[in-house]
Amino acid sequence: MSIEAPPRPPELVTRNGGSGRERSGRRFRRLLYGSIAVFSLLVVALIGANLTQGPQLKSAQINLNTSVERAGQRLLLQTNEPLAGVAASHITITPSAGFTASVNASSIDIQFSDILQYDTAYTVTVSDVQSISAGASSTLAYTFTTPDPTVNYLAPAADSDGTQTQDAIMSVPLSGGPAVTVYSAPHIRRFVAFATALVVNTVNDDGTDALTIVSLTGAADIPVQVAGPGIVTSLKASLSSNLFGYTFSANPSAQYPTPPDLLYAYDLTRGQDYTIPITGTDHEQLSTQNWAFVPNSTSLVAQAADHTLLLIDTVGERDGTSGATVVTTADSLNGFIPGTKTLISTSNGSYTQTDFSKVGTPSTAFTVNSEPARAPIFDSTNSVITINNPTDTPDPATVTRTTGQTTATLFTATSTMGAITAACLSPNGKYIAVTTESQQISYLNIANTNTVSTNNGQQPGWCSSN
Amino acid sequence: MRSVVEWGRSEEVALTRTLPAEPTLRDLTRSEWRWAPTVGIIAILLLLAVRLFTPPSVTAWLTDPAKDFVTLTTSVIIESLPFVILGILLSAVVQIWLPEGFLLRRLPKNPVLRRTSVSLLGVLLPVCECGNVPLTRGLIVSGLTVADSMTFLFAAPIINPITIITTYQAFGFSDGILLSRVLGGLLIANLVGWIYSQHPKPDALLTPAFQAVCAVDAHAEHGTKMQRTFISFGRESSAMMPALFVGAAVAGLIQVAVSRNLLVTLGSNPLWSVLALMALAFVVAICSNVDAFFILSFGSTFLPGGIVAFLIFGPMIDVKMLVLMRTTFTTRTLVQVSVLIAVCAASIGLAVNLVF
Repeated sequence: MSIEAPPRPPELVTRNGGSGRERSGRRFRRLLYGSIAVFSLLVVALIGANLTQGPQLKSAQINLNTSVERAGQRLLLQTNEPLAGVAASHITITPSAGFTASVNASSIDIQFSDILQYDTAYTVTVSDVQSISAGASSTLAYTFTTPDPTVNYLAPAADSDGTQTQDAIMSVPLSGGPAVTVYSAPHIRRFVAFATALVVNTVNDDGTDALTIVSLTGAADIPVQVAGPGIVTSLKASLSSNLFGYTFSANPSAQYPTPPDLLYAYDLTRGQDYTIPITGTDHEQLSTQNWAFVPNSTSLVAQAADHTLLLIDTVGERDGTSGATVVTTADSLNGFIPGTKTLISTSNGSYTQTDFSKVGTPSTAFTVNSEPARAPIFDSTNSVITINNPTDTPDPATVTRTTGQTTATLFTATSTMGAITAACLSPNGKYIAVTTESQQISYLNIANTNTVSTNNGQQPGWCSSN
Repeated sequence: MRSVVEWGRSEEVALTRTLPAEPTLRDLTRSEWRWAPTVGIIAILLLLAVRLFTPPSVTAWLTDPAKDFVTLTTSVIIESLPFVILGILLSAVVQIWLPEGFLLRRLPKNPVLRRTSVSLLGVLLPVCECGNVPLTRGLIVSGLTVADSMTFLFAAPIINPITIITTYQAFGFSDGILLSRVLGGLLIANLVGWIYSQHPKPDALLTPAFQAVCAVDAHAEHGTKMQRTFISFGRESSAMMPALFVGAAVAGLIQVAVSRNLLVTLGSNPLWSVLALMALAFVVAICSNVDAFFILSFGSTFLPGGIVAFLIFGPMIDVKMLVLMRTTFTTRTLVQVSVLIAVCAASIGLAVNLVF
């Protein structure tokens, strides 16, 4: 296969003496080496810019929902290059929140030592951040807003303007806004609210009670089979475990005994199911004075008629695999400290805290600067919240908070509000809902005593669930 | 064009009349080609038998670096071979099966638009960079200018559909890696094409051996299309395969000699991440279809600019590609192109580090 070179075209001679091909050759070389030079200069400029720029924030991760439920939640700030250590003094959080921080390669791990406030914009600023490879420093800033939870309450019939003819369960953001009716019935005694369902205790025309699981997602309502005609005397929920429980007092009968306040539980995860009768150590159905779900568990604590405190696993009761165990004795239950599994009870005029998160559920007696008879509420900061309704003095009703020897007033009722009927902490213990005789609910931020919002109604959902 | 068609007709007539002298494909498969599948199967079985029955003592004398060299070299060959064969076949299709000028007639007359179109051709071809070398040779032989063919050669491995999908699977749209890779690759390929379109003697960019190949009109060769396909396949294979084996061996040798840990350590610095990963891309010579998954395993260590530089520079220039391209382009041309692409890729990588 022979190759013949194509005939070479005649060289074009220009006026200045250079041929067209030579001129093209020069142009090509100028273009090639000029481009290489330009890009090389660009590389140098970009190197300079990169070296004078400190680490940049690449992404941030935080579980906002759990940040307002539990302490110890983490914010992970991911930078674009590995970091030298960051001093805690270079980290600021606005509004203030306790934290610990550590650096691992290119991420800064900030762990909040406290539960965060609802509906609050937090800004985390980390100054003087340096990478391990370059000397330039930068300031990282990240802002996130915590969720604004929905609160539920009961709005009784015969509203002030007369437009509401039925009792209604209302839903509204904690920060305020228009309330939405999620369920209404002629006579609602109490309710508990889950994310996807309500459990409503209504009163029938004959005066007996009914219990209904009302779906908020459009599914059919499920009537709960209560033990004959009678009255539901308490209704509480464990939101994290999708459980609710109630006590039931059957109408008196001449043929058989009808012990009051028999305790039942119901597992919502099973859909339409039978109620779980809770039994005591004698394997008889438990007639209880007071009871509460242990937070974030399927167990409950019940105070039997003989004042013993029993720990009962509802799942074990349903399956017949476990029974009640005696924990201690108590005259009354004050409730669990929000965010913990520590139960406060009163016995012989003194307080006892029982920790259900530890093996053996150890109980410890302690004293506070408050009268046990006034049924105080304990929050997670070792403070005691007390309702004060003066009887003989013209002083207004108040809610006070005592920390050590210091007492501060959280809420003062106006003259039109009347007495304070209830005060319940939010699930995270950062807020309190105060209900007055005038059927007004005030939601307060405990940290700054600011009133976040008010609603006309009663029975805020926080009072019946944890 | 007319003469070619007429020549083709007369060729077919001539074949019909002189069957014994000009064997058909059937004859070919009956004669020297009929043993090809059998030989292939026996070769594979032989290799398997060698692998299964060779005692470990036979390779005991090999040191660890020597074993690494053999493993790395073989892996590059195994990874590249299917694409090289596919590229050679596509090259034959372009040269022989497509009517003469089929591609050229459909490209825009405007040089910029034509290069842009050529650089986007890779979207249709799931062939990585090593397969694009024989295909580019086929395009040049078919009449595409050297500059336009260079545009195709450097753009196609980056914008081929498999590369885009694997890059998306590896990085999604995070840190602009996918976008920077595709746009950066197209930009550099078109820049190279534009600069070399100004070259006064494009033929001088090619090796004398390849110039000789170009001088042969594939459509003017004797024999049926299938025969010419076999001839073209054999000719391109004999040019490409030695280059592939040498390139793979060089890649294996450099990987053994250069500490990969050193490159990884440098990867967390805004400047060194770009340079180190370009060096890594040059050394590992990994196929563009899978390089995104390779670098993903180092994703937490390397800065995004370094990753982008790796993903742009690697498919265009690496040791294996240089050896393959040396079959077509002169050393001077390859040095120029390598430097130009390197500074462009570094610019894009550093810019990405600055922005993300």
